[in-house]
Amino acid sequence: MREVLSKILRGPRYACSLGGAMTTILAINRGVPLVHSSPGCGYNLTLGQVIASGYQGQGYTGGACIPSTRFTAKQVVYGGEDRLRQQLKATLDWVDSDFVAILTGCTADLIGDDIAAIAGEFNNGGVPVFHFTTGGFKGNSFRGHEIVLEGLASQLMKESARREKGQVNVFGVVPYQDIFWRGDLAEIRRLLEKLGLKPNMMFGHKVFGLESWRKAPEAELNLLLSPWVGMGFVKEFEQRLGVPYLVVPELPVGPTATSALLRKVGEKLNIDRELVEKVVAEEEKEAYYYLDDASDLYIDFGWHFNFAVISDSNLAIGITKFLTNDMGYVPHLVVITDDPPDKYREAIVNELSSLNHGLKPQVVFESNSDSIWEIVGKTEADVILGSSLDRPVAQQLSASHVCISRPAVERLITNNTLCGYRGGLELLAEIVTAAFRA
Amino acid sequence: MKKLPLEEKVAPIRERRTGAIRAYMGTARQLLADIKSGKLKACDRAFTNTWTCSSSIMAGPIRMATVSDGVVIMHSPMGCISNLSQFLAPGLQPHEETKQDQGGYTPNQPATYYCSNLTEEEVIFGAEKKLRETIIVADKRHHPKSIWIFTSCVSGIMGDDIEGVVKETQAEVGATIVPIRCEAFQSRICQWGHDSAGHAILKYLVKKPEKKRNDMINMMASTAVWAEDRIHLAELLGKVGIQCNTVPDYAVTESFRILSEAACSVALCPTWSDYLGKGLEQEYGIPYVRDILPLGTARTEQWLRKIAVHCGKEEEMEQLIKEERAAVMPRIEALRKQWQGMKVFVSCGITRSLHLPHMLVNDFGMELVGINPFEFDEEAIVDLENLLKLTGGKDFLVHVSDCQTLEMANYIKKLDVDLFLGHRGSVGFIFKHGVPGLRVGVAYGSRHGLRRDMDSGRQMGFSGVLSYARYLDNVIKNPSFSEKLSAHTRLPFKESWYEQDPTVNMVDPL
Repeated sequence: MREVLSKILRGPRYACSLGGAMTTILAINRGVPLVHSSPGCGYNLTLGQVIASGYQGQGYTGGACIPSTRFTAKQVVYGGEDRLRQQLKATLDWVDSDFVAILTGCTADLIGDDIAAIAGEFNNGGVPVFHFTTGGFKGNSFRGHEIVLEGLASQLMKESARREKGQVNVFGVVPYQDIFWRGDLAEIRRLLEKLGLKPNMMFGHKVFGLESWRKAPEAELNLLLSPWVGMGFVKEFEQRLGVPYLVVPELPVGPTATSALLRKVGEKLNIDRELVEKVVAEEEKEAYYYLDDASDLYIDFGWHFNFAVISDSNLAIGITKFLTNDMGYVPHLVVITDDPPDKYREAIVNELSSLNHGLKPQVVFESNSDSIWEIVGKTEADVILGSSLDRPVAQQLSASHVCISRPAVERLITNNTLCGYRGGLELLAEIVTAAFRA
Repeated sequence: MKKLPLEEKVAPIRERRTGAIRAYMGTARQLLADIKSGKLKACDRAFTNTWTCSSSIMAGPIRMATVSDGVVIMHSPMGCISNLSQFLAPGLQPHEETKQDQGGYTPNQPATYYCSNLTEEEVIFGAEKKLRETIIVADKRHHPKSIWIFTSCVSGIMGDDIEGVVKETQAEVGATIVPIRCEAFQSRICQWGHDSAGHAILKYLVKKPEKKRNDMINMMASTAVWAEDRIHLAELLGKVGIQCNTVPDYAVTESFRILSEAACSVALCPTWSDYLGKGLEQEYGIPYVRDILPLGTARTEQWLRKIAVHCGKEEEMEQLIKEERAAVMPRIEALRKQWQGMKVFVSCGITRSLHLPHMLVNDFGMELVGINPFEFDEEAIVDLENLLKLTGGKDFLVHVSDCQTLEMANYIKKLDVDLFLGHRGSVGFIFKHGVPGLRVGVAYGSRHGLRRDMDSGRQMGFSGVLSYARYLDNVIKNPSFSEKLSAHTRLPFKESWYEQDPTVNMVDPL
């Protein structure tokens, strides 16, 4: 438990552990979350964590298809287990899925239903049923995401004697909370494949859903793209299942960081250096073809900006490094909104303090919008990259505003990405477009 | 009518107060026969999908967060408030400043909603102190006129003494604190949240009338009715000298205080205002108009006339109706020729499922195949009888469900439907079945990017008919997206489900 008392929040940028868990399940192909909770949790969290993340859709069984027990006072008094059995049976009968994940909300956790036992009753060799204790008061979306990772590891994964050469499991990108997760993961996958690896993407529509999780223990490496989300999970994964991990504390944005990632992975897995350098050279050449062309506008218009970022830690680090180290922007302020546990904060500050030319932005950890806007209100930055909630404060400052974090309600996100070589170009285009429109 | 127990802390749940049910499958005639003979039994579902709840959407954080001099506090874990960011999107808010009698909206207000952020610590040690702290922080920072507290499942199960905190804290803050008790597990009919809001407004905000105002009506319109409609109707009534006191969206705190002074209360969303409208009638004798909504030309006329009677403006109103009608009728005649006989299904809250068909049938000449209201109770009997009159006695399907996608998917495949108008959420899944359809209201965020000179975003009043027709025309003329999408999308329900009768899912409550 955190040492500091949890704070009152205005305009939070994340939801609760149920929200994080539900969206994590939805991100696994053909997985069905069964929300064992009050009537509205599932749909409210769809609006908050799915729709407010760049209008990502309800998808296969999201939104108004999410099975839910919808507690009444009766269940609160007498327990919700019979109702859960009824809903679970009907879900398995009528919904075509690869697995069902029982997720508890606050009500079920407060009365203490035994969901593990009920999941057990239904696990008879058919569609697997998993169970996760994710009541919203237990933590935020990131905690919910981790609960699912840890739960799937303990309920599904077995130690494997077999190692699949080149298999890399990718963690650290929190689906939906990272509004660009689909495009980001596609770019990571593309790049790892270019190194001749077999990236095992845990989330997304193009992967094998639960199969990716089943074969995760056969990997040669767990790649964690976050300074803290899933850190405990990959460490335990190594201890229990024997798969080593590599932590890259950022979502790599743009040429420098992405090339560094490829080299790190190459080194860790002993990939032929020549191949790695060939890929890096090819990709950098492509990226700099466009950056070269864009430089005319950059120089002729004098659009050499400074900036502030308000976002979750891995994206904040990635964006700050790209704009500073590659684009030559001046970093003024970085607000980290995902409330990392204290023990990870120093490392995050270090990442943001080792930029080119000794540049050191002010780094603040803050999740309450009141305080965020107070701090941002004092910045001299021309460009503010944050959530839709930050548009009014950017407008007050007559700064350019680019929506890059949740809640994102002013843009539709499809396969967009801020990650990798492509992501850097896309981010640059976003900033310039925003500046023209501001 | 049963007396509303305003002396109580909590509003009675809908199931108890109006006998509302949330699961039914049959025809209009059957339902009326069942409810009148007392045979209507409350059944439940084996499979339900999630929908909204009394607390976090319905009762009104989304509504009250638009009160421009108010602050919303959700006394809950942080997930309960996450949907607010979606509703209060800049793109969904009015673009321009509006006058106070039309809601008094100022653009670019940063969202003033707080969450007391209940965690395991509060679950163990109690959260009353934290609520108190949140109220004081919000008051100090914003100096609001009202602070709206919404309770949650967690605060309810923990048994926080909300009223006690309010009593203790009220003296220390400038704002009027309005506690809304709406713990979601109390009722599966989330519209109970509306009642909870009405209950609290009546108890904590409405003041004794200083004067009676014959020239002012209370226009009660929830978020489902866009700003365009509210502004348009207020302008229309303004032409004959009737002012609108619009609540709750984009209202100011004072709008709630003077609810007791109006000539009548008009429901633009009868399910939202059911409790508040009746409460004002009960406490202050203000007539409550709920059975007619200005959807479609005929109903708009009736609606305007009814208000005119309450305000003593009959003559002026006849003149206005004549002018407004003349401007739209020729174009509506032309539309009717195009759309005559088109089979339409309407699925959404009470407001539109029981009232929009008047426009679709009467103005556009469509054929009503069925409706799916979220809930049904004794209040809706007249509305349903009116729909049967509208169809000339021709029976139609009635499915009572709050967006229960599994059941809807089952029968929609078997029904012959040309156009499906549904609530957001479930309508998407129907669309993917290849049934052309759209959100039943107008386009979201309609004040942005759409033609203002074409009255985009309107559905009510005379010109609303034309604007809505323009909105429907797009999908009627070109259903390509639905056709292509259904060919490329996999649906989540098993083939064997479609072979069932959907009523197998309706079971006795556990």
